[in-house]
Amino acid sequence: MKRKPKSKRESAQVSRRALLRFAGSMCGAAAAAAILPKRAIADRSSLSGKKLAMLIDLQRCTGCGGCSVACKIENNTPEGVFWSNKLSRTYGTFPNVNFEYIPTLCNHCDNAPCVQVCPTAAMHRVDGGIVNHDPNICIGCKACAVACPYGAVYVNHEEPHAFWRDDAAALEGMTASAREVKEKVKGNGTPYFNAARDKDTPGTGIRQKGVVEKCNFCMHRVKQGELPACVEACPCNARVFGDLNDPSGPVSQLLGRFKPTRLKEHLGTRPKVFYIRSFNRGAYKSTKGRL
Amino acid sequence: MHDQFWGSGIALDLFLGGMGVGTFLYAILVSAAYQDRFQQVSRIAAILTPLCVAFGFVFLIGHLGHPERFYVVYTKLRLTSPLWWGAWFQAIFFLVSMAYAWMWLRNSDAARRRLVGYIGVPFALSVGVYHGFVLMVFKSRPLWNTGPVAVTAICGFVLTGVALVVLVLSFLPREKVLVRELKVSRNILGGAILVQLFTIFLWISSLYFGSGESQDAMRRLLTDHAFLLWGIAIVLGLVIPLLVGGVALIRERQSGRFSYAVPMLTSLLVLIGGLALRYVVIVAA
Repeated sequence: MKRKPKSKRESAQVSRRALLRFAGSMCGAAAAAAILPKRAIADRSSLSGKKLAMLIDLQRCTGCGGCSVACKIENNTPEGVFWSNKLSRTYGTFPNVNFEYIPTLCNHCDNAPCVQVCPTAAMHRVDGGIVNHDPNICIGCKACAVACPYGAVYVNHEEPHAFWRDDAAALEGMTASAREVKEKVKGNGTPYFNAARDKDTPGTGIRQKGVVEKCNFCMHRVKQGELPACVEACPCNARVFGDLNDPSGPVSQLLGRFKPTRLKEHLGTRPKVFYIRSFNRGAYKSTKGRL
Repeated sequence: MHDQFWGSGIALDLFLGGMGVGTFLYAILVSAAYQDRFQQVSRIAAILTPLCVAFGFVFLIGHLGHPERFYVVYTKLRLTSPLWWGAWFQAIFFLVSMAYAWMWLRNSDAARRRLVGYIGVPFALSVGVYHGFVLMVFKSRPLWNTGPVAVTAICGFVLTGVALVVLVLSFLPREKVLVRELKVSRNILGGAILVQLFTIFLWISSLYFGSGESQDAMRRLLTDHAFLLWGIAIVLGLVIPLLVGGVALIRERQSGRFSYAVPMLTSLLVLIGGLALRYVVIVAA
C-alpha cells in the first residue's frame, strides 16, 4: 500500500515533536549533569562496606568533658542522658594516689547484645556498622538497656526536655521562661527539634517518651562525610574516627602502633571503641620540654 | 553499677506467666497419672492457666513504654531475640490453654481434651524455658548469666503452679474436693519445695564459684536484698511451709485427722515466697 504524502500541518507537527524531543533530551542531559556530581559525592560518603570505629588516646585526653558538651549540643540529649559519658575513679593510697578518666560512649559492638535481644528490630545495624535505634517501632521493653553491659542505652521514662516546659524565668518579668520560648516558636518547630537527625531517621527529631536512645556515632554528620561532634570538638585530638577496613586510615594506623584495649572484652561483644596508651604517670614523657 | 530498667512489672509477668505454666503442666500430669480420677484438680488447674497467663501478659504490656505498638513484635522476624520467641510462645500457649480450659468447663470428650492438653505441653515447656532462659542470656547481668538461674526459675514455676491449685482446692466446699486429691497435691508441693531449695543453693553456689563479677553480684544479692531473699523467699516461702507441712503430716499419721488449714497456709506462704523470689531476682541484677 502506498503511504500518503505528509501534509503541511503534519510536517509542522513532526518538526514540533522533534523540537520537543530535542529540548527534552537537553533537559535530561542538564539534569544528569547536575545530579551526577552529587551522586559521586554521595558515593564517596556512602557508609556501605565500611566498619566505622573510634579510637581514644587516653594520654592525650585531659578529661575536659568537651566531647560530652559537644554531644549535648549536637544531639540535644535531655537532662540526665549522656550519649558521651565517662568512667572515672581515684585509686591508690596517699601519697600514691592516681586518677583515671575514661571517656565512654556506645561501643557500636560487632556482636551487639542490644541488637540481638531487640524483639522489633528497633535497635538495628546500619551501613558502616553503626548500631542505630528507630524510635518509631520501639515498644519500650528496655531489653536493650538491660542487655548493654556498658550502660550506654538510656530510657526516656518521662516526657523528655522537661526544661522547655518550665515556667520559671531567669529574671522575673524581664526574661522569657522556657515555656514561653517554646510557645513563641510554634509553627517553626520546637527549640529542641533536630532537623538533621529527623531527616536521617524520621521521627527522631523530637524525642518520644517511653523509648530508649543512645549514641549513633552522629550518623547524620558521618553520612555527610563529617566527623562525629565529639571527635570534632576534642581540643586534644584524643579521639580519632575512621574506617577499620581501611588499612591506611588513621584508626588502623594507630591500632597498628599501639596495643589497644576495649571495655569488657571478655563478654565477647567486640566493641568498636578502642582505647590506646592508658595514662601512666611514671611512663609519661613531657612533650613541652623543660625549664 | 547498673540502672534498674526492669522492676515489679516484669517480676509479676514472670511470676504469673510461670505459675500458669505450672498449673497447666500439673493439670496434664494429674490427668495422665490418675486417668481423670482427680478431675477437680485437673479442672481447677486448667481453668487457672489462661487466667494466670493473661494477668502476666497485662503486667508485661503495662511495663512497656509504648504498649500500643506491641503488635510490631508479631510483624518482625527476630530469631536472635529471646523476647520475640517468648511473645510467640506465650501467645500460642495462651490460645491452647484457653481451649483446654474451655473443654474442661464444657466437660468435653476426655480423649479430645487430653489431645489438646498434649498439644499444649511443648508450648507450656517453651514458655517455662523461655521465662527461665530470658534472664540467662543477658551477659551484662552476672546474677542472671548462670545456668542454675534458669533451673531455679523453671522449678519455681512448677512449685507456684501446684501451690495455687492447692490453695484454690483448700478454699472449695469440702464435699466437692476429695481429700485424696488434696493430699496428693500437698505431697507434690512438699517435694517441689525441696527441689526449689536445692536449685537456689545451686544458683548461689554457681555465683560463689563464678567470676569476680559473679561474686560481687552474689554479695549484693545476699546483703542488699537479704530480707527479701532470706526472710521472705527462703524462710517464709520455703522452709516454714516445709516444716509446717512435715509436722502436720506426722500428726496426721498419728491421729488420722486431715487438716484443711495446713495446705491452705503452706500454699499461701509458697506463693508469697515465690513472688518475693521472682522480684528479688529481677531487681537485684
